[in-house]
Amino acid sequence: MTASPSLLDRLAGILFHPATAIVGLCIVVAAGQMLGQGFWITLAARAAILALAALSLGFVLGQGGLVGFGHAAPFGLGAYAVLIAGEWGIRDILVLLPLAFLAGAVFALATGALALRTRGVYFIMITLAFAQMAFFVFAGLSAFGGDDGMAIAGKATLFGAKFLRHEVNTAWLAIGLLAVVSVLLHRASRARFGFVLRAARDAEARVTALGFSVYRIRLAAWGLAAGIAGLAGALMAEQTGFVSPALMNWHRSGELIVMVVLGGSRRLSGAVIGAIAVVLTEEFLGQATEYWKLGLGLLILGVVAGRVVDFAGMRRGRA
Amino acid sequence: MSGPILVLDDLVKSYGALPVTDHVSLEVGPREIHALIGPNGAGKSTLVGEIAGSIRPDAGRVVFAGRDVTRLDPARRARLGLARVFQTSQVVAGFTALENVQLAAAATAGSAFRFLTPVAAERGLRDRAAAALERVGLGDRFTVAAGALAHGEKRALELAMGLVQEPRLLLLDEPMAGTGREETERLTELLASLDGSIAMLIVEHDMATVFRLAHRITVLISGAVAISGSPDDIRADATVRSAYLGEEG
Repeated sequence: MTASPSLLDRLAGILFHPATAIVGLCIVVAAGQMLGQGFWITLAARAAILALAALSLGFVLGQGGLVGFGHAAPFGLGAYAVLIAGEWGIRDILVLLPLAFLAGAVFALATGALALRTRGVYFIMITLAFAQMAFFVFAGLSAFGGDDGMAIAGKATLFGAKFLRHEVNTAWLAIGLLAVVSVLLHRASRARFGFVLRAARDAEARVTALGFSVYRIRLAAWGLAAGIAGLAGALMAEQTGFVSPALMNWHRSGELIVMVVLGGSRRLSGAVIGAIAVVLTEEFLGQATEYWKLGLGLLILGVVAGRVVDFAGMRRGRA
Repeated sequence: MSGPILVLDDLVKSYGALPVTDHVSLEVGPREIHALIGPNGAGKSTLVGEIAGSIRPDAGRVVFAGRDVTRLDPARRARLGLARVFQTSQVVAGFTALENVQLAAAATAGSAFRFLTPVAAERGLRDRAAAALERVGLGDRFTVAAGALAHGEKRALELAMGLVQEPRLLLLDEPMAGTGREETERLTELLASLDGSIAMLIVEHDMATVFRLAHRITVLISGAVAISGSPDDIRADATVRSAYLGEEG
């Protein structure tokens, strides 16, 4: 029934495959290391970290249909987990990462238990409200820098070795985690968990009538996604060495949604591509002009229009 | 178990001053096909909602399989063995026909919290889903997106989703609504072939279907049970004839 895909489609298939993005990031880091271009490594690490956060949002948004407008909160909480644990002398990355995951997940389970009883615009608003609450709590926490934030006590260690003191290791860790999480979420989306999540996105009453507790499944997905965002936040803290409430700013929640939508929310890999595209646009257009957001805006407009507007139909005067 | 599979005990529901379920009591025996008929606005759909759990009655009890389920949500009732076919087709449009039935099968076999095994690789689900689709005559439509199926096929698909769960009661809310004459006859014969293996409560306007299938018929008028009895009783009843069957006589 389906025609064999054209060369262009096949090329796009390879180009937009998540593995391509991850291999691309690896090449940039390796090249940066060989050629002594520290900036490339920083850029690749930043892209991988934001891609991880966007990927987790893409999972609940795309598979679950849950448009959360507060994903910066678990992201920031993961960063604060690193900062606060560091003040207590906890530096091992194998402890910090689970802590950051828990910080994000616990926040999401507690707030999601309430938020997931709402739908649509109300869900968007309530997730935004909870994220803003987290933002102001940390902005007021003067012991940890308050509004201004503060530097982390030191880069994380691995079994006592000062593993993350070199930025290139942070980059490898971020890319590695991105790869592992991509594979796991891909598996989960094809397993029952993702299957039921997608079905509930499209026909909630049907899925409930079949005997599934849609609320519990969504809550689990919500917690899982926030935990992953927490991991990304922890990596961000390690990479920049600095944690501030700005990480939880609602702008960042919006930016993560932009990444997901730009890459296409129906495919898991979309968020990764979207995140890399935003980081690159910000970096390179940002060097050229301070109005780089106009360029990003046009890019989003172009991509989204290309996806939903029937240009051929318009030309024939039927749209 | 020999007691009734479903008991409605003095159910009451009003919307404001308007009673939509007016002290309804009703029983469905094991393996009984029970039809619920009545004119539009008689409160049939509300009653279906109260049985399925999506509408909560103001008073009275719903007892399913010997258990008071009045306070249970639809998912819990489904897990006890209540399968529902909606009045307007409710299928996952983006899933294939097979995936829709696999979804239904998964609900009765283990938890939704499986993260690693692809659904496509779960042989048990696939085999059960395939058998159910064959049974309703959709054997050649496995890979078609449910949203692309014809109306009658969607009804059959929903039926397959119900059957694959091997429910103790199949709750059918106007299964023939919007289907053509031929489809209706085919679906009716399909349901008739299940006679004796599964209890059904069927809300239906198509009198040919009702009289072909039902062991017992309950007539609902203005939210209250007007009469309940065998098809012959109902056919003979003067009130029903004037109030509802009218042109049928």
